[in-house]
Amino acid sequence: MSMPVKALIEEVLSDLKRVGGVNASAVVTRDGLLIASDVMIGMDAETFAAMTATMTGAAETAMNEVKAGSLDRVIVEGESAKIISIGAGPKALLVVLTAPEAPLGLALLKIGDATRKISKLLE
Amino acid sequence: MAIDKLKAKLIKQMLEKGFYDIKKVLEIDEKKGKISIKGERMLITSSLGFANLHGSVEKIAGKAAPAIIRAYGGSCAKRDFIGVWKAWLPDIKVETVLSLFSAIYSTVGWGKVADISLSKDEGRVIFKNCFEADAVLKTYGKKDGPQCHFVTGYLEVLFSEMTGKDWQVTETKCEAKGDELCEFQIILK
Repeated sequence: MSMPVKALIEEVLSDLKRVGGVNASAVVTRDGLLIASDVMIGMDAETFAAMTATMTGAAETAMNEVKAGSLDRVIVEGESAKIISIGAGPKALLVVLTAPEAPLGLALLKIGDATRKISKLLE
Repeated sequence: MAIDKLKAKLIKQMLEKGFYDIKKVLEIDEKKGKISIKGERMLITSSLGFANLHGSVEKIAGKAAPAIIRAYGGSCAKRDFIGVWKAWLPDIKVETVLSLFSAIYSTVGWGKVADISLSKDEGRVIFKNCFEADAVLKTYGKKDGPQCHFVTGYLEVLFSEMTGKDWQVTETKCEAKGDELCEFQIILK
């Protein structure tokens, strides 16, 4: 991928961080490779990319197994964070890490906008 | 010329240690039903098992299957780098690995290494008859994209371990998608 696209995606991720409660984000391919990230120091973005792609892939196959249609998003709620993974076009995912108390409605709205931008950039 | 001499010397050393002659290093304990090399238990199984690995992981993880298979390849490379490369050649250098790579991986059945190169910031490995592509092709037929995820992860970690730098390996051609060979491009992250 050319550098400008990566830089433009990083800009989208940087904007996303301005949303209250969003602590980190990454764009990864559906097969687990890191495209761009805005993560905190000490976090291995590449491992995170592989793990979240796996989590989303497994959720997708589980949905298929129970014939529940296509997957909209995966939300994992933990003691000190939420992980939200959502498709950004056919080949990529946007994964966002938020604070546990972050309002999900607003975050999802902003994440939705970001996925549309990223999807367009990756076309 | 100096490289050729170094290569010849290294291969001679490896041959003296019996590395290429599997019969010399393979210990068979029929009573226990175990085979091993240098105390490490080995298992001979069909290479088609790799296609089963692809299929099983894909069934669970879907499109993310390559991430898991790459991670498996990477962990095997780490183990091999310490348990084989460093165990056999403690003062190992990048040139040593590059010189011997073709002979060793062909010997253990990975396929024929047609080319290997690594400069300061990029490199390339070309396999002909790569076992992973072959297994996928035989089991599932021609695929749309590259399939050697295990080899990709393996090369990425092997090159990173031996150079102390972070490399990204991408398979750009694959026999499983109809190419004549499997080509892996290596770039510095």
